[in-house]
Amino acid sequence: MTGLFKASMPRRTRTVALAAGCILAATMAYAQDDSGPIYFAVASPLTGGSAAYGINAQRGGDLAVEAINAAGGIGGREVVLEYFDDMGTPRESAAVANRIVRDDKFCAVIGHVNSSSTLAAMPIYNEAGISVLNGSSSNPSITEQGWNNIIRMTIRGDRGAQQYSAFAINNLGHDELAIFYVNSDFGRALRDDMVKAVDALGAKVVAEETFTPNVDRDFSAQISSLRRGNPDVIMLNTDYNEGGLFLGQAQDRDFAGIDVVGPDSNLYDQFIELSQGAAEGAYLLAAFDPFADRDAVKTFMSDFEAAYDSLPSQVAIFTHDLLWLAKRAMEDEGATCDTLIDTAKSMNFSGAGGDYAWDEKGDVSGRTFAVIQVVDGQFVSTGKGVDETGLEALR
Amino acid sequence: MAYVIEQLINGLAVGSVYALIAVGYSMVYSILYLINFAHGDVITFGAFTALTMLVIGVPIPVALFLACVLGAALGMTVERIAYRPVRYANRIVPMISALGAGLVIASTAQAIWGPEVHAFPQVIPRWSFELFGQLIPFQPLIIIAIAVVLVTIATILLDYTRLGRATKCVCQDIHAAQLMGIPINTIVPLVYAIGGFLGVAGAVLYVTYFNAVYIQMGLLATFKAWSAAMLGGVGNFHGAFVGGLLLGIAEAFSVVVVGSAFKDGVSLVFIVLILLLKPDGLFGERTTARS
Repeated sequence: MTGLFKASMPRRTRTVALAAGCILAATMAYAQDDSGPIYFAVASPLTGGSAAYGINAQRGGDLAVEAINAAGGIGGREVVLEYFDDMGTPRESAAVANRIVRDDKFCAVIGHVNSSSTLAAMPIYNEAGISVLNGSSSNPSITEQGWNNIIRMTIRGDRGAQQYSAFAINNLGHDELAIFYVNSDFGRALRDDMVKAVDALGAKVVAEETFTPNVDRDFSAQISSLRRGNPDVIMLNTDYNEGGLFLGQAQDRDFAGIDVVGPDSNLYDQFIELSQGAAEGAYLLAAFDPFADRDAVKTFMSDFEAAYDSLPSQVAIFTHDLLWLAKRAMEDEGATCDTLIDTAKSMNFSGAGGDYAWDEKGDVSGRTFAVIQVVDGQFVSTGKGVDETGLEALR
Repeated sequence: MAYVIEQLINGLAVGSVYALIAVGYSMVYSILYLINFAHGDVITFGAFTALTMLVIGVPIPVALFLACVLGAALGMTVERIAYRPVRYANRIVPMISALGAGLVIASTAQAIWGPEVHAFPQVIPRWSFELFGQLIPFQPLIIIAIAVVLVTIATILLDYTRLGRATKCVCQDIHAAQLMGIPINTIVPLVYAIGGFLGVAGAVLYVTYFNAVYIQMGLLATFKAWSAAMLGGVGNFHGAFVGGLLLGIAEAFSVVVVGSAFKDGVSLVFIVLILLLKPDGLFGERTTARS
């Protein structure tokens, strides 16, 4: 039993453990043993309506762990992931968080995916003091609660909305925007933040229309109304089905010459297919650039394709990058599980999804969306970023 | 003004599509006083079949005609399997059997074509032309024209042929018609066939105009077309057609007047208001006290 103890273990811990008895000692040794495997809890929706995200988290995580362990793990220790299904619901996420916290063995949590899940679970992680490495939760309030044990990879929602507007106004030089948005929490929040940013940048919204997701497929009335505003650019705050259908239906409505800018929820081949050619030239702003001319992303994309025969979403690449971040922080910067977040905030990390740095709150800083364009019926990287001039006032 | 005309065209085009689908519901209802719950799935199947034929290179008119014929055949099959054996049972029974038939058709379609939204080839080109300085889209006008032609043909068939008169007799009183020697087991399937044919025609226009074929469209079309049939006066052939057009126009103008967030809500409020004033629909006859 004592063989499990290592010389580096603090004397006080050892004394307490021995006093508490063999069983307890064994558990504690398990938790704090620094030669055995190092455990991460990956919390994501593996079932339910957003299960596709969870599957991407799992795939990105598995790929990263395979490569990390092949490269000697973290500081010579094997990395083991345990997956927890939060079902994409706040209630289940809180339950999962309690299970993770109660099981003493985890070095850090990677998750959750849905913002509502992260918001529900964070108070529990914060109280337990466990480090949370978040990939894709974009709700602005997550980093506004004073929690100092979280960083996230994705660009938060309000800053995302600012960047879409800044791209249309600063990069493309337009000043009359039309907004077509999905009538959901996500779509309305995006629309509200976009309107504020457009205002701050001195441009104006000349028309806006919405639609009910998964019900409306006929956008002709909205198209006529948007066209009437005579915009320079359409902000397509939709997913790929509706975005593609909208452009397809608009092609006989005098939309030639109007630019299209959309979020990466449109970054699926079906977007191009459903638009029947009308997506040509559209700009999509993505949280990472899957088509970038960089070795790290090319390797990731080809490994992912080889392993799963599908394209990774941002959830996959962020989960992957978070594990590599943990390895770099602990091996190169001397972080422990407890200081992971503070160390990360002081780092500049380069992963498959690009370069990351974090501010005091745990938001990525100095990182903009990657600009992807549809050219000859294919998504291609433009290699450009977003010109953020004028957004300082909003931050 | 030009904007109002454009929205009117939008409304009439989508309304024509609802109307063609609604006619199928209304005709079946006029005979059996039952909603044909399988209708939406029949037309979805027809639209997918048209897609497959177009993709493998069948000429457009042939493909569309064959798809409509398939719709007619499927309609008759549903009648034979799900309705006729239970025609005189409690009304709940054929309703459930039709729901079952619809599920079988929808699941088969999903097994063949998958759950994704598919793009539909543009069988009517998306051209536009200029009129009084306003760009008028060409496709919705053709859709309206096709709908009017199809309904006119169906009207002639029902009003001026022996077959049509026999159908009307069955609609008025199925038992008396049978006693008068009208072969109801020919006429009733025929009504399903006409409904299926027009329904698939409507569905093909729907998927051309919206540029999308998908499994759930049957449910959506059912909802819209049934509302249209109610509005026009359920059981009334022309009422269903006019109801469809009105529903389409109501949707387009709710975007103009109230905003797109309330598109479906406003058009349904409009229907409820009309039904409050005319409970049997715009062209409905009082259908109480008939069995």
